[in-house]
Amino acid sequence: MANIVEEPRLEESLDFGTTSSLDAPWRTIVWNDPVNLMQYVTRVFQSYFGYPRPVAERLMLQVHEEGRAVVATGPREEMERHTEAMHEHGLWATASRSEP
Amino acid sequence: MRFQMDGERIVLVTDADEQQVLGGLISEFTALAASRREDPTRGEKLPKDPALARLLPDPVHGDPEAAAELRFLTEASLITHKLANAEQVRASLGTDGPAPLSDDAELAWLKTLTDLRLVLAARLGIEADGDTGRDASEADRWMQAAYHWLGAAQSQLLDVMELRDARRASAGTRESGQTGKTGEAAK
Repeated sequence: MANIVEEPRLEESLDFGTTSSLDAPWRTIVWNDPVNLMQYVTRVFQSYFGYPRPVAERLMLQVHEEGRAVVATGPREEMERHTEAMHEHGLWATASRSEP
Repeated sequence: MRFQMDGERIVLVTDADEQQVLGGLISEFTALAASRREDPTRGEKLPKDPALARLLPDPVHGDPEAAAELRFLTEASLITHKLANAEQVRASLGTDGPAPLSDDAELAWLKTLTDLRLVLAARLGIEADGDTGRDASEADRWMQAAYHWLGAAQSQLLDVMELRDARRASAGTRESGQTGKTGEAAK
């Protein structure tokens, strides 16, 4: 991801997205890319998923630093819809079956 | 090109040169996205053009068959969505003087600025964090400048949206505060 403004502040460490419904069969993953601004990715996670800012920032940083982050887990069709929505926003995302 | 606050609205300020450059980029983007509709492999395989491949990535990871199936179902509407955003941006460029943006138009701007930068990055060979992209020719350098210009514009729009959101939130708090007081008085 590209950052041309400022490092976002990580206000608190919460663990949404990855730990809720661990047994859910599918998930939506957002992958890192060199183009999207960190500020934009955070806003998309807030506005589309409704995540509070600290959660959105944590997920954005995870994408940036680890190359990917699970942004949602749940039923297959829902994860596919989220993936398409991420593509509408220009984020690189995939749906996949959760690893056992 | 600047996005400015006007009360709780955001207005776009552009000059004729900027309108022309952005209009040209949008036309090329529209032609590229629409070209996918003529591609015989549309809706089946990842596009060969790296820019289109980035705009329309495989939607399922680790299962080519499932990816192809889902692409078949969603690719056409994704292209339509991107073209509609680009048209909305073009429409707000046409006006002389500051153009007020609806919430819908703001989102179309954010998404289209992203899509245009994704295409430019693919053309410049920007593939990983830290890549600066090719600058071998005049055309490369022009695309580099456009890429950074659009990035700065998007960042500025995001800043203004954040400011506007904060104003809306504090106006909301004031309103509910006043309502509360009225309620107290009524008691």
